[in-house]
Amino acid sequence: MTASRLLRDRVHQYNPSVQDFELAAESRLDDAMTLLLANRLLGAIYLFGYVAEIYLKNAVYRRLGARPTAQAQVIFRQARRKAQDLGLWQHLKQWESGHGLMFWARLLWSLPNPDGRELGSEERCSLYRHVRRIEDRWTVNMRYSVDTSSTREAETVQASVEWIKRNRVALWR
Amino acid sequence: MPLHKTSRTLQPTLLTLRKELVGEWQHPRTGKTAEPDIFEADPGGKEPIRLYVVWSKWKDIAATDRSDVILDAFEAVRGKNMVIRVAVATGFTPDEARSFGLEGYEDDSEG
Repeated sequence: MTASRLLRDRVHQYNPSVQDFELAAESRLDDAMTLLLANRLLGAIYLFGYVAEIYLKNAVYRRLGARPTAQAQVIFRQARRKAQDLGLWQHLKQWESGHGLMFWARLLWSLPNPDGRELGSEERCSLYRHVRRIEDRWTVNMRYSVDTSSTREAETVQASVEWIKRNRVALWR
Repeated sequence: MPLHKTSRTLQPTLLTLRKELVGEWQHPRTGKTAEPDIFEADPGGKEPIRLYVVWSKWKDIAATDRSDVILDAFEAVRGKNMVIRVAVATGFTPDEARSFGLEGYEDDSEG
């Protein structure tokens, strides 16, 4: 079988592992920083939001016991079942189509790690505060918007995404 | 619903590689051409660990199997509390490491 020449087909055929999420988040964060430095603020915020989503999903998957080599699609199905069991799935806003940052944060702090340890109250509060700050300024629907964002808004989102990045191991272990 | 952990029972070839890798991790050889060449990037503190292993023996081994061997070897040497901090574990052949531009494997054909 020959490899597809179309990028979209190559992306769809690729089955990412959990460790691909770590690498992808780093790459998208670089992209977002490049946009921020170029004063392309809405584009930067749009990408920062997805970086947060990737880090949160990665943390949920790891908290469910996934190794870096686990297939993300398989773990996603487990996460969805877990969210359904916990009564969280119905809170995922329809239009966010799996991208709801607060949904992933809530799932994260509802899950004990494989050793049974839950996130501490301080970690939960900080996570809530930073995800709230991002979510107040980000939505997947931003792609249809003209740029009305300010540097302050972009830097606020950046700072909260950086917090999630710095603390991701503490969130998943 | 239980977590589906795949490939946790390594095939004999992979078990042999794991054993060799554990030995190298515990008693690293010196010399520029010594293999496997292990890169253990641990910034410490709350940061995640990244592992890269350059080894000619990866040639016919699938990427996921390479990563599983590396994770198993690392866990055997450093323990469960350390392996939980690993975010990325990747195996390269020397040629792949040069293509990737891994530190120490940069293409020096022009210089």
